[in-house]
Amino acid sequence: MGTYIYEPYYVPDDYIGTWEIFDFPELYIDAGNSDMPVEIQEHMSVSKMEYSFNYPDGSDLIRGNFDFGIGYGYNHISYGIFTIENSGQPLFENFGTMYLSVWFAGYSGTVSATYSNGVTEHFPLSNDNGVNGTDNYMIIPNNTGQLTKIQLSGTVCPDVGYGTYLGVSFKKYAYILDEQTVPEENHSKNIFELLKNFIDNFSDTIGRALKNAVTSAFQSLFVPDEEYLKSRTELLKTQFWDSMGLLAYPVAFLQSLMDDLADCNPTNAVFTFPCIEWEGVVVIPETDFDLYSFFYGNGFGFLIDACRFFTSVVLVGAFLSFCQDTLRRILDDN
Amino acid sequence: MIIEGLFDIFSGLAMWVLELLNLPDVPPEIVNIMNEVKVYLVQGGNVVSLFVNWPLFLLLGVTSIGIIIARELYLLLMWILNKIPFIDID
Repeated sequence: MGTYIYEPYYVPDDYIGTWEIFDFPELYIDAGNSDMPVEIQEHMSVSKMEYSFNYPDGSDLIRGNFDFGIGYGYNHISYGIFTIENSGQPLFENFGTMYLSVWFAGYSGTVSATYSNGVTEHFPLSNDNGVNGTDNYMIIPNNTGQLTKIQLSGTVCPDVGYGTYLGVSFKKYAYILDEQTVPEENHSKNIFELLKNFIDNFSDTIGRALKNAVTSAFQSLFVPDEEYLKSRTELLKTQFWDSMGLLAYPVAFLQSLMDDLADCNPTNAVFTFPCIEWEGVVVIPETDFDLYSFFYGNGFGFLIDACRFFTSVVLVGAFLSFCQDTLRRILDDN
Repeated sequence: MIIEGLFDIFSGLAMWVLELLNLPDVPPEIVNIMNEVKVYLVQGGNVVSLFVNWPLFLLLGVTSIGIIIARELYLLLMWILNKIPFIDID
């Protein structure tokens, strides 16, 4: 059994697989209107034209991207025809449902599928919401012949600026296996062999179950449950801090002070002078003096940097001296 | 099961003792004063951190405290071991 998956896309970079650049000898792009056939006009330029096709692994994937850059200030393309053809040969080994993605605003057109028996089917497309985006179309042919030509034609009348482009992407089914085919076992074993296997399996199962049961019982006898220990410890800790009250406060205070001191930052170096009142009248209001802004805002930042460098040297020196002193005391003790 | 039972007995006893102890909380006035003191200490720390490389200061400070504590623990351990005659450690 297998599953058909599909993913209509425009940007092909998400495809992981082996691709080979396939040079279609007769692939051509015709963009223009009746007055401007075939040639790319001065206001239009083909910015990118890629075609990829892989036969080697047998998966009949085909991909085409045609990017048209539209010249700045030009806002009307009257007609465009995009054709994929390969000398009248079938484009796909087995043509089934095909997915077509069109990336453009205000597009309306038709996909024409031509078959080896000369029959042509038309699939209408329309994207007239005026918003750039990808529209995906499912094309299900009614004809049983081999597909030899795909032609996308239509009108695009966008009011667009520079860099907008028409993107077209064709993709066929990707076929993957989702279940491994398991070879059937030989059922021609005799009844005694089957009985022996059954007994062996049964004793194995019972033995394993007993072993597991004894092990888990023994474990539960001596090893306490992790959740149980955690909850009891938390309970004990909470009760301890609640009961210690007065004695616990210095510890909690010191802990909180250390946390706050560890978060000290020079940008918060602000002196706050308290408000001075006399009988309800504010004599001097509360005043802040931001040292950091004062130094760095008035061009004295280099002084702070120099001071910090100097104090760092002193700190490291003091630390080394302390280490030396400690080492000497330990050695002297011994 | 056995360990859990022992732990239950121990924690039950501890809880009972703690409930008996149940010391009163610190008066809110003192808490307010201490909070005010803490604000000034932190403000001072911020000012000092302007002139001192604060992360370096913290690192060296914590390391120094660790060294002091390690030395004291070592001395305490040796003192205890010296009290055990048959180990015979000088």
